[in-house]
Amino acid sequence: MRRKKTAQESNKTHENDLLETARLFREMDLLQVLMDNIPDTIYFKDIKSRFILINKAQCLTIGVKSSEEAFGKTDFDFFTPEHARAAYDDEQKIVASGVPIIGKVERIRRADGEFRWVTCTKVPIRDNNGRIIGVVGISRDITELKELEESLKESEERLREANVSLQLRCEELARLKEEVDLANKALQQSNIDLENYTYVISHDLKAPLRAIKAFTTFLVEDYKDKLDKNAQEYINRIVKAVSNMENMIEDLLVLSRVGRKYMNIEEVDLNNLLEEIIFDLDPVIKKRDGLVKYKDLPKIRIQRVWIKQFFMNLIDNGLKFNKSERPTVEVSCEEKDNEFVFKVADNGIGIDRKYFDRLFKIFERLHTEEEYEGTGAGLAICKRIADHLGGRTWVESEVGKGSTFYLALPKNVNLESANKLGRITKYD
Amino acid sequence: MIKFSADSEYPFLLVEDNPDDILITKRAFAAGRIYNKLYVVQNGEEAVDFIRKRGKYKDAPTPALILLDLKLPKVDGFEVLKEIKSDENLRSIPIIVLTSSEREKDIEEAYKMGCNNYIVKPVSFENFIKTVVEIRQYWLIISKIPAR
Repeated sequence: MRRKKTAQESNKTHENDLLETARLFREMDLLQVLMDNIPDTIYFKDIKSRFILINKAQCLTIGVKSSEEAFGKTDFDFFTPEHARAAYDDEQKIVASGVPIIGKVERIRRADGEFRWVTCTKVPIRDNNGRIIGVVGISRDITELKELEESLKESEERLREANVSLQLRCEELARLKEEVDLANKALQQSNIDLENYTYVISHDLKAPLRAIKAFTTFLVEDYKDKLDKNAQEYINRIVKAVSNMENMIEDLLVLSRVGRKYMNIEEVDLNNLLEEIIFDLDPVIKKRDGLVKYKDLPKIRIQRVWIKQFFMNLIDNGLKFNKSERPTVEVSCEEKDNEFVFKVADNGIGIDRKYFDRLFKIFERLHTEEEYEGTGAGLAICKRIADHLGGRTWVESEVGKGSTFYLALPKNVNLESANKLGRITKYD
Repeated sequence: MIKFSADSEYPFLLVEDNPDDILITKRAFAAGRIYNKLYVVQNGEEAVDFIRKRGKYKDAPTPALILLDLKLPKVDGFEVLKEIKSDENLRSIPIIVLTSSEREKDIEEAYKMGCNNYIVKPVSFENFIKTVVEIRQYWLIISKIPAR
């Protein structure tokens, strides 16, 4: 069985190895070893910059087979005149001053025609008397490093350019935002103007309407006996047209009031609200033998008047545009992360998809007044209310199967600020 | 108890620029059985002259009730209200604003200036009569004339 070496014995062995290697080194020409193996170029020159001795790497660089082949020649025989001149001047300075050059970066053209970057260090060589008898230089190829540096510089430049253009873009964006803000402000003002305009017009239109209505009534009251059947019929038509116009003006007024009129925000239990709507719509429901259902509606903070008007219009429509034996409207709510999605579904006549866009526009009617009464403002009012409450409304429907109207209301809608807009509205 | 003679001793003043509305109001008064004499002026300036018995109105009676439109030529209804309600001697004349404006701002302003009642003109004549009945009831209350 082999015995394990002790630590002391192990150290002894190491020391022996070291001494043995040192002995071998001493037997060799270490300068030659260095010259032949180092990838840097090494060159010894006399005081007139003529090659005395060069290493293998320098042979490759200047394109000679051996050091002897270069002996006595100068950089002018191998490099570009510019480089040769610069190197010569440097070396003469070293010879004259004895001051070495350390780490100077130069660009050389190799024998293979390729240009390389090198960093060179040159020092004077002195004889035993201290007299300068030549120069030794060593150059290291740093082309890769230099290229890396160049590309770094380039990308730095590109980065700088990108930064500048980013900054410009930011400024542009800020300017655009300013423009948008201005446009928004103008739009807001024009909306306010429009609402006021609608309001004023609606009122001024009412005066002549009142006159037409009143004097038609007087005509009938005072001249009933003198009017024949035809005249009576004409008067009926006038009365009906005027009523229609009155309703339209009323609707326009409601439309202009949404968002304009200041309304308190309060907590509304929509179940109670629906109960109230059912009570208000009782005559309509009874007349059509209809049914209004609701289930699990939430409590929300909202302007009660508008949410009531919204549901009222849709429920009224659902019962009105309905040929089912038992016209039914069902209100439900789906609570999502950020919003409540309300559904008002009826079993009515339904709406063709191609009319969906027109549906929410003011005074758009899909039916003649003989078929279904109304001004065609109800859904426009609903749309306006949905907008005002910061929500969205849309419809899904199929002819003959009924329609479902949706209202998505964000949970954290900032009604206070939406309201402010209505509150600060000036009329004069 | 104060004794009152005929309603005609308590004339009303209608301040209204629209001739149609004047006719309608008169007729509604008849239909609503208001028999008080109804004087009519068609702008705010004349209204103030009438009440202050100035110029051609120097012999005008003091109205027992004023029906005042807000939108008037020259001097508007608000100014008439202000003028009357800021005058110690005239302040007690009840003023009913009868206008087509439903603006909260107008309503608030009118009450602030001391109008006693604010009525929005209805579009249909039927409702106009109802309005006049309201005015009549209001008049009966303020004049303490027992209902007949």
